[in-house]
Amino acid sequence: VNGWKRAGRGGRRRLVATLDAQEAAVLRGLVDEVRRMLDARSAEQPRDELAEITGLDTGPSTRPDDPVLARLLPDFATDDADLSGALRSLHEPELIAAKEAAAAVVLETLPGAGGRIELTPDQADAWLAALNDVRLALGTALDVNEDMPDELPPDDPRAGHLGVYHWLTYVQDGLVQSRMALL
Amino acid sequence: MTAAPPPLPTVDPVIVPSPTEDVTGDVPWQAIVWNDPVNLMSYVTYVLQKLFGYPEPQATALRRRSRAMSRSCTPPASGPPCRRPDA
Repeated sequence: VNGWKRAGRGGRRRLVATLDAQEAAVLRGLVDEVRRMLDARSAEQPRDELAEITGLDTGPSTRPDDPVLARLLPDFATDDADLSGALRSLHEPELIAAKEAAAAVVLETLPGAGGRIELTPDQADAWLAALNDVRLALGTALDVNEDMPDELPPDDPRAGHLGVYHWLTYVQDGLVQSRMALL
Repeated sequence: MTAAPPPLPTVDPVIVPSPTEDVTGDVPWQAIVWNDPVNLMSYVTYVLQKLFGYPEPQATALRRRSRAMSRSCTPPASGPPCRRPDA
């Protein structure tokens, strides 16, 4: 990425960047992986007859065991387990749907072999949400914390992935700055 | 020919102002922003601007408060209710 630039005006405003083939492949793979994890979470909760009739999906009431999924779908209340479970049951399906919709926008607008990406403001918002989810997932898997150094020792198995994480941070931050300027 | 209907009983309306009327804004929810090592400061500021319509300086101040105090609450209990963004 050479940074995000603004192009066009009025209803034709776009945010533009270029990804090379490898960057596009890495991003596609990570966004797809997050989407698969969310899909699997949804599949754990079969739709019952009532949901088919009412169209109202209810989700599970307990937090995912997997730490990455738990980071993507955190507790809804910290001091009241019953409330948290009830809110999760009500809202987790729509939360997953929103995350999957954002991931789908990235996968649709990302050229297969890399190249120029042109996003409307709404598409940029979806990118920001999906990039944030990917960074949350990777950050949890790498145990990123406040004291994390910029680079890990080369013999640390997380070193390569941390580089990807920092690159995603750079992509997301650049997009936030450009998107903010359109507010 | 029919007889004129009898006059309907009427009542003079009397409006009594209620001294206990609650005129405070209805704030049914609060968003809590937790400090966090992954979520970007710029993104948190942007979301506060976009979702709650805060101007940038106020969004930045809320974001800074969440970092300094581990969390911040929006809208402030005594402050003006959040307004929805225009678009």
